Amino acid sequence: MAIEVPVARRTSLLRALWRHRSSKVGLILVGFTLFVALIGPFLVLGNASSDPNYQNLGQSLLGSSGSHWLGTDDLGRDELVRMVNGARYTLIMAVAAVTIAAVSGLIVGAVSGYAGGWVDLVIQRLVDIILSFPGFLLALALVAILGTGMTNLIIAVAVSAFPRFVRVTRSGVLTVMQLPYVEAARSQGLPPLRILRKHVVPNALGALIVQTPLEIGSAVLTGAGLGFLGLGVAEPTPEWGAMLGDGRDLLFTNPTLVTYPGIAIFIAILGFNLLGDGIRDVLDPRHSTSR
Amino acid sequence: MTSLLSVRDLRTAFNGQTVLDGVDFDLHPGKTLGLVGESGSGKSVTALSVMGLLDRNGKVLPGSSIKLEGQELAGLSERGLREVRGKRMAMIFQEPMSSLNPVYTVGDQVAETVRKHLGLSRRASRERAVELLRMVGISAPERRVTEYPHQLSGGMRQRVMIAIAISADPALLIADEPTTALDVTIQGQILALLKELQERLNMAILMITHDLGVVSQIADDVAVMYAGQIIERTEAQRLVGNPAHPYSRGLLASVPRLGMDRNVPLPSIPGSVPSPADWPAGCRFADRCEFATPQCREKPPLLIERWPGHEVACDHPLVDGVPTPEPAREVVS
Repeated sequence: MAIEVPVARRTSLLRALWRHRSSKVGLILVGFTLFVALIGPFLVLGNASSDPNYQNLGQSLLGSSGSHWLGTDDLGRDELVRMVNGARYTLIMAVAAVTIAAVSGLIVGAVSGYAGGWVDLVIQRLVDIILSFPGFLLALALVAILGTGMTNLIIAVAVSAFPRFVRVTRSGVLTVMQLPYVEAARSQGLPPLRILRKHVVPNALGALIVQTPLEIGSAVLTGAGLGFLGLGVAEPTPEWGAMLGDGRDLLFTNPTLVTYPGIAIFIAILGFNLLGDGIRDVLDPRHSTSR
Repeated sequence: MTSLLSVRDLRTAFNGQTVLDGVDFDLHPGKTLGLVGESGSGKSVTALSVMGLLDRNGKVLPGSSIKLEGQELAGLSERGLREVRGKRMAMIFQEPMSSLNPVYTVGDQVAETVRKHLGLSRRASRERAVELLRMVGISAPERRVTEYPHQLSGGMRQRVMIAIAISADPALLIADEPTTALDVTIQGQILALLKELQERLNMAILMITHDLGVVSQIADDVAVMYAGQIIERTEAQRLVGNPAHPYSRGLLASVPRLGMDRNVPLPSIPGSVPSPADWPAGCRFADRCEFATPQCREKPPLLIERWPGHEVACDHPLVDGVPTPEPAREVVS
């Protein structure tokens, strides 16, 4: 008689995240932000004010209405159109910066942990130096040196997020290197780089995967903060932080001009943070805090 | 008979602290040598020294010699060692549960070594992997190659590890407590498999274990290790029947047997292996030995062939469980 062996069903990460309460909210918020960034600009097409930079001083500082759902700003630009277009800048900036930081942090951290000795020592002390500056301050200083603009903003945010990825990867690599299968791989005569690439790094990625969405959240905040200070992308680009900064002077007369971009930033950051927490819970059920 | 692996005066230190203190042994082609001892006696360090797998803090000291098929491995570069490892000598480990990488299929991992050492194509190494899994007694290997390690039992995983180890047809297999983590019936199967593969591939096995049962099942010769040295060396059957070193006798006596009187406590050796920092000047076992004399604590005994094919490092070797009275130090080895 054959005994039926139960096979554990492989659930996809997305499915597991959807089942988890807080990451479900995270998925919805991130999904909404992505949707707005990708499709939004096409949805608001149709009239002259569909151009985020179309000014109409005769219609400045209007409240919500059928033709301008979220009103207009001090130059008569449609607030909704600018918000929807701004989603792209914020997301591209945050995702690009975190991708650069994660990939370079992964490589540097893996080499640091695997090589050990003085290589590790030098890399870790350099990382210490970067970490000794508060992230935002470092990004601010870098933008001050490099100048404003999208590329420089991405570099600045990437540099400030980079050392945390190095740390996370290195500690993962150190843990995995203790495991017997790495010794087994060495006993089979495999070369070090191959062992690092095939046997160590894939098993050390967990913490990095959890770290990534959380870093995207904080990159959104850093980017918006720099934009608010006028150090982000140049005017008149409708970046959320910059819009928030522009609205600051009219805070008492037209509070909606700071409220809408603020809500947008809030939604994006909350979404990525909830998603990050959810990924952590799903990938490592032992550390689960809430369901 | 020329030896396949010849270890002479092997000394290994961790952070400057000597832990292996002059280990000598020979392993002949197609034979099995059991390396026996308690935790901390240096048997695993011996295996890692031979493989060149000591971690950063460990070093084989100059003057040591490890010859595999006549080639000196002590002092060989990491690159040189990589050419030997996996190809001419391979190793299996104690924890089959974690000796396989969880993120790749079994087939990938077997094929990886095959491709590295035999230079086969992706497809051919895949076929060879199936063949190897069949050789180590895994049923339906065509299906197993697509499975992940977590889908296999401990015994199965150890079989996969053996398949990886023999993939390049090595002359020497070092097995570091390969059955310790497995239950008894599986232990027997794995030992039988190793024996069968040994005959088929004419492979020498260095079996590291603390289990004298394993030794009597599989080994031709035994070397007993204590505090970084070999203290007795002879044929496996002879050691089990006539241990000459009080330590070997103690090890044998502490193995439970069926039909023992349950009211009599199992004999044990008092104390534990002295740590390398506290090795005494004389016999390192003297403090735990019921037959120790004051002279034993002064001069270290040498490993001397007392009987044909039976070496022992004890000045009062046991004959039928009784120590010989006067020191026989003058015997020329």
